[in-house]
Amino acid sequence: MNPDGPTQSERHEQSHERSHEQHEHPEIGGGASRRLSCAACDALMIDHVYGETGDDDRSAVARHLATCPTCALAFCRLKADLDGVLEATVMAPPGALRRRIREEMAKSFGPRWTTRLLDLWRRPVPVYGVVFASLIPVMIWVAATLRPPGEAALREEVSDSPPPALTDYDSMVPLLPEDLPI
Amino acid sequence: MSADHNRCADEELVRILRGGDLSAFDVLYGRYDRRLYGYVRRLIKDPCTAEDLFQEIFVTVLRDRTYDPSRGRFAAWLFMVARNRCLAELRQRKTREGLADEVRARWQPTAALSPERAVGDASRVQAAMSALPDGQRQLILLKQIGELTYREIATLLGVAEGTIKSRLHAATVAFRRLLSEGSPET
Repeated sequence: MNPDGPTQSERHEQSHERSHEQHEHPEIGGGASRRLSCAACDALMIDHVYGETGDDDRSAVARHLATCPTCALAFCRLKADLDGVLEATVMAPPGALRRRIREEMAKSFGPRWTTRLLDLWRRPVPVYGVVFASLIPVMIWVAATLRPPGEAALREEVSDSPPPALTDYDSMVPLLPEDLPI
Repeated sequence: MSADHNRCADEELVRILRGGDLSAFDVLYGRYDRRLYGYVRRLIKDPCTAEDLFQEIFVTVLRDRTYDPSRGRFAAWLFMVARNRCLAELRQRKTREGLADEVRARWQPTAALSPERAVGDASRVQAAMSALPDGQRQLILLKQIGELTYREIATLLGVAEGTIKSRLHAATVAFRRLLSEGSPET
């Protein structure tokens, strides 16, 4: 026994014991109105901090923590310890890694040419689209007008012209030597 | 586009990415880069190997289509792949190096003297985590860093959910005891 009276930790323990005495009743009620003892709350505290309690337990623990400063303090310490794990572990990877992985992703999932074309079409400058759309019939007309005459048109042109007339034909003129059959 | 993606669930982002929208990758990467890299670094101490593994895990899960969004949470799958890859790497390394590691470890300075160990809470937490047995450390990391549920961890380790719950309770109590006492390493 300390002659100067209880130390801080002893006072803390005594206060927790008193608190336990106050809350030593078993669980009272059921469902949403259930009240927990400190021991019951302590048993659920780890599940609660990990977010693994069911709806009833979660509200019961929350209600108990709101009314019991000792358990609330214990819960805060537990949460701080576990949050410390997260803080001590998370670490930013080097920026080059992000670029490398993104390149891999771009190779595998990069947009196809159809998607790119569609994206271009959907650009937030609608006048481009309107102008382009209005130009399409004009371009078709120009293309049709300037099209060079095809084979059919040429044939038609030939059939329309009169057959060539044979003039100055004289059957008595002897054939030239190169025209004679061998 | 990216602002919309920020509200999307991970599984939806994976679908969008596979549809060809790379901005979904940026959001996914931003959500998991620090946690996953920290997790890998915690298991694989060598930074170069950890970087390679980090890249491999991300690419495996996203590009190689090992993950099917309709079959579960992305985080659970990502950390499952990460854990398996890290353990495989550790096994390979153990086989490769064997005795050489032990000899080197004897000649290395103690962890407490390492310049990486800053004075403060982070080093105390790291020391306490390092002092935990492998299984307990894995559980706490999967829960706190991976944010996996008891059920997901149980599926990953192939044990009952109740077993995971009791093991995680024991691990948490052991970790807090080491943290308050000061682990043997410090």
